[in-house]
Amino acid sequence: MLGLLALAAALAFIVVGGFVGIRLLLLARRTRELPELAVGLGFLFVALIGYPMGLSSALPGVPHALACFSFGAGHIATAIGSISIFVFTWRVFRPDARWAAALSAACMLALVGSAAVAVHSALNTPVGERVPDPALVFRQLTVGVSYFWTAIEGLRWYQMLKRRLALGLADPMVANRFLLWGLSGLSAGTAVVVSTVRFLQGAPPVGDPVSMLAIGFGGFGAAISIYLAFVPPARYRQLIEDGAPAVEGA
Amino acid sequence: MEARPEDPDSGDVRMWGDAALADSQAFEFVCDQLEEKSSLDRLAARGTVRIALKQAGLEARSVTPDQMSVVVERLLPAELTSRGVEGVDELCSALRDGLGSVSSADAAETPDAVFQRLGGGS
Repeated sequence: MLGLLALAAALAFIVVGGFVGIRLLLLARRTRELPELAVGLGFLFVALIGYPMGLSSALPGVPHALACFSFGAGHIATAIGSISIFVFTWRVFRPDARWAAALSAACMLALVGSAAVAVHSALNTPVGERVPDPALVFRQLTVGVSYFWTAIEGLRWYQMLKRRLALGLADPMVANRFLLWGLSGLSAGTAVVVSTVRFLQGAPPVGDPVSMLAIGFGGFGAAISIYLAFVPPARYRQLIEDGAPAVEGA
Repeated sequence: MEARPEDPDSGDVRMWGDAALADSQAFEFVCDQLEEKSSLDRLAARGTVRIALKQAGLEARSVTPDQMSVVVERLLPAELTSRGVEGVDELCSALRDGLGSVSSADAAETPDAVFQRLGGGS
């Protein structure tokens, strides 16, 4: 049952993340703007490429050569996607903050380094002999930082736009998009951190109930939030617009 | 309107390493007018406007003249009254009139503008 939940959540994250990523890249082609390019690449490389390749490398019965390729390529794709998310968060929310530039640069370096170690491991270590190595844990925690940082910024802006809504200075859909962006980051970040901690505790990469629960709820939470944020159905739009607070003094 | 990014009286709260940024022309205009036409000194005028902006969920560095006009109409009067400023209605009316001539052309792209675009039409 837990396995099915985790599998369905993983599939939902892959499908929705991939769909939204492609949609945002098409938007970037029209606008030529960095934010949509960065977040589009982030979804595409993390959700559609890195995540399924990483999962498939740990599945039992996968041929050794394919597992090694998936392991290394999955790390590279996840690193590219996470770097894109760092670029998005830094340039959109904190373009003038030196601490944000420094944090982004440090995390990008960490991602590149851990991807290099993963490729080395894929080429030199048999699949069954891989143990929780510091590079993998460091990579996962860095990915977690990318999710939590962008979640905090999204929720901070949601709070600001809630105040603007009361004065008629914000669009309810945009305010809700910040909320959903924050929730998607929290969901994905929690899933990453919990599964990494369980991995460190010696739990198997596939089949651990706690990890599967975290991936299940985190994956569904992220997928639903991303979908409603970037491809909101008409009924959802109506719900948000109807629920917007009345403008004070209007 | 000349911006004063390095102003020690600005009262702006920045995190470590944040670059010192110029506040928007709309913010500078209202602060200068308040300092000139009310009993508030420079520090008090800027602090009062910042408090009103915070209540509105806006930032001094990116607030536009249109947004500032709403703040001046809805939130600033109460803040000025609570500080003992006289002739608040006339003062705020003059501020709103003056904001009509302030340029908003220098505004950088804000996160809400980006998230508006990412929704693809909402």
